Amino acid sequence: MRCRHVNILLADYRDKNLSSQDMASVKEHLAQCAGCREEYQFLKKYRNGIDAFPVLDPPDNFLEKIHERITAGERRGLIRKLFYPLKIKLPLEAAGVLALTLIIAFIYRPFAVNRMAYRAEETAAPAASTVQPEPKKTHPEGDFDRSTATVKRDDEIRAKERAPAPHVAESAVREEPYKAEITLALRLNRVSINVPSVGESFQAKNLTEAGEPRAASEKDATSDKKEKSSAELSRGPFPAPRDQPEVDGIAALAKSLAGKVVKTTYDEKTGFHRQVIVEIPARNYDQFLTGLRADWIVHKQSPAGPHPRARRMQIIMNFSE
Amino acid sequence: MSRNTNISNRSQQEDDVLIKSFLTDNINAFDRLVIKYQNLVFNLCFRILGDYDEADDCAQETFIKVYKNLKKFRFQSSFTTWLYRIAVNTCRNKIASAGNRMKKKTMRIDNPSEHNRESLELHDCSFNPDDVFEKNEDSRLIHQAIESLPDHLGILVVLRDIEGKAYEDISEITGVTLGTVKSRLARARHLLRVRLREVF
Repeated sequence: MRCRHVNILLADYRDKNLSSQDMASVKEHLAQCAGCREEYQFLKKYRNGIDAFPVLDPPDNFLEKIHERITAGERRGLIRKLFYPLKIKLPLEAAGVLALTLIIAFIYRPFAVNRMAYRAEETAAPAASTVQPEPKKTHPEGDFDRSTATVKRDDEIRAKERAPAPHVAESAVREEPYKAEITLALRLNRVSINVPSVGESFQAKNLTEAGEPRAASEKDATSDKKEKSSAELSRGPFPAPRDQPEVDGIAALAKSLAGKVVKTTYDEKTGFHRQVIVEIPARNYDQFLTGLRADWIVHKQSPAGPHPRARRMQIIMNFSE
Repeated sequence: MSRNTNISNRSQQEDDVLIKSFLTDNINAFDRLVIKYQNLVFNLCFRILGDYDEADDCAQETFIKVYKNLKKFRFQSSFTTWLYRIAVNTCRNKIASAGNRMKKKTMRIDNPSEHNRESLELHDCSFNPDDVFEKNEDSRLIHQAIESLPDHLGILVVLRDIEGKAYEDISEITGVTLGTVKSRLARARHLLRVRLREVF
């Protein structure tokens, strides 16, 4: 019998689980082989040591402790079910949920109330009153219920007490929740306006006041039209951006109607403005359109009018030749 | 051999009856199961963890898990094997817990040469595990040598050499394949032999 085989059988030899023949073979091998004998001595000591391992008794109140912990766990489980339905364990998860809530609140603004809108309108009203005086006791929207009217009256009193500066009105206007957009396609009214030539553009600026493009005489306009080259025509309806009385005119018109220019799009290639966006109170839209038609031909309007609930509106004006 | 098998079968039948009784809301059946197996589970935990209080805690946790999950027991394996598996996994979790690792680390920094002895002495416990082995020095040395093995090897040695479990049962309890169990056990015994030869 070889050492490797004997080593496998040593444990069973110690436990006397081998056949009598194998027992005799192992015994014989151990008598001759010092290495295997040493291994057997080690195994015997190891096994005897393990057999002598003491068996410990658990504490006397072992079962009671288990019952206590089960009861406590059930109570805690109930509290967890009631107060922690999401089972949020990590601060990171909690931070994520909080961030998501804030983002949703920021996007949808569920707590924004109309009161802010009324206040904004009232504070903006003095600026508009110079253009469109309205009867004092008539509400501009005409469709408010009593509660909103009360809110409005309160705001009137507060506004008077505070005597808000114009910039306050502007900031309040920005809080308007209802807005509408109208897109206008405009073409220059060549009959009514003086289109300066390249050489005269700076001169035209001096002659033409901002917001009043019709200041130049019709005669000059006719002569200018004759002198205008084809290259100038290809540049579009506006002179160079620094020489844009028409944009200034639109800005002045918007301002006179309690509005403002929100954005202007300048075309680098042609050197003209392609788009101007103004924001005005919706009730002044007709007036704005009338003023605009003095210098421009509105050949497209979409949609037909402002949204009935809109208080502020944006007018997107796209210019074409 | 057949006598042991008969005892085992009878014990298993008794367990099945107790489990079924527990599932019909008889809490006394659970108490009987605890009383029957508390020594086995407690000693298994103590041999894996080497700490009386931690063994107590783990053994209790094992039975709490049994209480909560007994309705999921499908009677496909023996209750004892299922109980062993829960106990071993609970001990593994305990070993892997941050507190346990920190405790071990602290001990090693304070006194690396006498890590095991020191950790037992520093423990705030009226029970001194050294007293357990005072009658048999070899047993104490073997216990320390098993404790010094990597956790995944130490558990196998406890299950095979101390608890006397079959390789197949060990595979089922630990969730490790049979071949891996055998190879890991061979490696564990080699390490034990190297460490114990110095002291035997």
